Amino acid sequence: MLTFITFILATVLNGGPQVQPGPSVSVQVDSQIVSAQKLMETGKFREALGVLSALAAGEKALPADVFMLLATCHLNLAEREQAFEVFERGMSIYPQQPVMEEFYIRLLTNYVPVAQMRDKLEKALTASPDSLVLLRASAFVEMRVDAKNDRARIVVERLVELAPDNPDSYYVRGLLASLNKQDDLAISDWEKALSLANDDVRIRMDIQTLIGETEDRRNRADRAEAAFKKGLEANLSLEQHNPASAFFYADFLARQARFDESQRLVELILGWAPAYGPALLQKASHLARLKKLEEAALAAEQALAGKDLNPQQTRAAHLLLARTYFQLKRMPEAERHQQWLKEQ
Amino acid sequence: MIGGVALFDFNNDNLLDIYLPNGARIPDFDKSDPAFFNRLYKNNGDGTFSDVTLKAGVQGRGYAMGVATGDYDNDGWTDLYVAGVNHNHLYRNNGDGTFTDVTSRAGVTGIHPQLGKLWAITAGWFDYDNDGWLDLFVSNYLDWSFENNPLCQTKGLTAYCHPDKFKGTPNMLYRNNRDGTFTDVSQSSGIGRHVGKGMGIAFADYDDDGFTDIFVSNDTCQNFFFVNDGKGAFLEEAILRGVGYIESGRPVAGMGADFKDIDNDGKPDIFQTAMFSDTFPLYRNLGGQFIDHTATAGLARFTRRLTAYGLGVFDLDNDGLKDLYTVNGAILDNSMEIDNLPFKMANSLYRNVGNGSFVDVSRRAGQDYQAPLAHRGAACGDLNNDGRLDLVVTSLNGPTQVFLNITPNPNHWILIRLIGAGSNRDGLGAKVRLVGGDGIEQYNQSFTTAGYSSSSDKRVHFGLGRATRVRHVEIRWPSGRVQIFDDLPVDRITTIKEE
Repeated sequence: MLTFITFILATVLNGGPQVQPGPSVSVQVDSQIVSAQKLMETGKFREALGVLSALAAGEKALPADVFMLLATCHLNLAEREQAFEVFERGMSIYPQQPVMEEFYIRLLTNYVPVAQMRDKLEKALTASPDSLVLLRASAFVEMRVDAKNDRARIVVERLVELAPDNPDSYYVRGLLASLNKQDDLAISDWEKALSLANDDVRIRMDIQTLIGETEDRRNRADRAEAAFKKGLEANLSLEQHNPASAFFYADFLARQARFDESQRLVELILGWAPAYGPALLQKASHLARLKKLEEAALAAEQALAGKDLNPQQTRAAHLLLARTYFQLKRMPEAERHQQWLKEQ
Repeated sequence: MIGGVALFDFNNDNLLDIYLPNGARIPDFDKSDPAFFNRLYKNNGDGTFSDVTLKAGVQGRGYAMGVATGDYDNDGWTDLYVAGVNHNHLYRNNGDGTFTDVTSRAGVTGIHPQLGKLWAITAGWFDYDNDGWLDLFVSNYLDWSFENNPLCQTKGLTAYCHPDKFKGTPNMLYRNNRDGTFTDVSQSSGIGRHVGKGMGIAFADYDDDGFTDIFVSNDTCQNFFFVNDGKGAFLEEAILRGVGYIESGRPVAGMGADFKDIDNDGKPDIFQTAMFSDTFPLYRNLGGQFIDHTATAGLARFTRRLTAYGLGVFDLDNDGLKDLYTVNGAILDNSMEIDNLPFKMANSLYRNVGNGSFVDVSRRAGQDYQAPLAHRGAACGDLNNDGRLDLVVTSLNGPTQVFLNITPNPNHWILIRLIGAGSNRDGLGAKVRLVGGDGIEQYNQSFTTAGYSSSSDKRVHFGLGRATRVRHVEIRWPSGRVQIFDDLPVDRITTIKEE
């Protein structure tokens, strides 16, 4: 389940700071922002910072964009503290602005550890207690820290209370229930979310995948497969397919010992994303099972070389490589991977 | 935590008796209250047992957990080794219904030269150097004591701490000096150089080189696979051989283990119990290398929602294929409040269907077998000598249960009682290859250590299906001698002496 929540978190929260277009206050300010953006595009962050700082010093009614640009410049100059300082000042000027809050969540996700993120979110929520964006992020952080604690439950219930018609509220509450092994409640919430999310293909894909995982955990393979199939259908209808979601179906098939079917799906995923680590690792396992050891080692090395493996999958890759090199009598490589595992 | 159970014939009346290690008062480990005595129950042969603990003198001292049975002095009487938290004991069977505690004299106290007495969960007898005398392996768990006992809470509820909160400990190996004493060879053999959190142990000669290897099931850390080099040393190769972790690279909360040939290919496989969401791993031996066979065998989906301690790989329906049983129960008594998982669980039985996979027949195993309890140890053996293997199961704060196998099928069987001469007298480590009247080959190996903290019937059992004769039996003794027998009768206990 850790794997899955990590996936969900990554899906929802990841991505570097992106500048969102905002309303312009005056033509002059607008042109200075454009000028700063141009400097940033060419990597001249210090110069851009100069333009933006001057603007911030002189203008009383700055657009929110400026604070995002300022923070981005500081981050690119490895000035993390200044980035947070300037952006949190912007947040205090523009409270309850979803665009600002979403940017802040990206900052937190990418640049601060979970414990600190928790404190900062709590502070931000004091200023904007009804912010759905902050509450949602807070819910994810609480789930990561300890899904069993009361804080997680309180935040999630508040989210549902504030947005009872939003599928996302039930999606998040279902996650919390799932992490607490309350599978019935989780599925009930996700089904409610599905009923509210007719047009949102991405959330449908995510929820069907979650239902598939949960039903499988409950040993209800038929229901699990039905959900995974629906998740895959949604995935296939997206312009850009999601390898992580489809991989959960492939992994389910492998757990059912339906290795050939799993492998076909893995090949489909690798068609979308040739360097997708979990799929490469699954392929390596399949090849090892077929005693194609050299090919298995190659695929596992490729999986390790990428950035998609979570810590557990990374361990699995090292394990497979240790065993495979041992079988190939390539002892230095086998021992290197064995050593990696022993040092963890 | 509580321990296991042993099935062994202490008085040589050809009936399996039952020994149950028991706990002690907390926190001083006082065992003077008879409620805490370890118990020896003599099989009366009529379906009843008599408590002969005090007469036998095996009530024990301290908090006991595991038990290993074996005739370490080759006198024809099975002895007992009891592993525990603060004391381990070697009870020498005097042959007159009594035992003598010879622990200190024999030098098997379980006291580590640097670390002191370690918390031992179980132990096992085997002859690692094939000198004809049984040696002793002791599996140690965590570096826990009342002084090192942090308070762990979830949702405001106190619970056992996760094993991660404690350091592991090394296992110990004692070599039999053939004079009633033992030498601690943990360091020189390499065994003591590896720190783990040992629970179950299981023995087999995985590569058929004539020397017994060891699998140690570790709790939430890498398992150990000690490969016997035949020269007195062991190499730890769990990761390289594919049994250190499950395929996903994750350690499981390893509990018990058994190491027997499930697919009749002559290569012993490893089955392990673990915790909810781990699945119970089955590692199939491909000849020197193991593969995680759990999903292929169908066990991933059967076991994903279970926690089990005891287990065994035995042919329970005498069809010639070894089945699997696990005795289940969650770890925490407040498991429902903390994890929304039941504490008491029904036991499981998986029937081997012969193509490398198993079917879950737990619900057909009887109401008693399905009664939820916090099951822990389990031992397997033929209590009434009817050829159908029975089970004795312990449970935490619950009754010990004796499950008589009443499987109504006409399958035949043979139970082979080995008596070693050049080999250890119990014949532990002897490999038996059997060809039934139907031409089907089977393999088994004689060991008493199986499951979690438990010791099973030392007699080697084969189910024969419909075959009405045994065409061929080949016994390869630890001494290297090979004996072959043709046309043995079925449905009886056959004694074979090493010659």
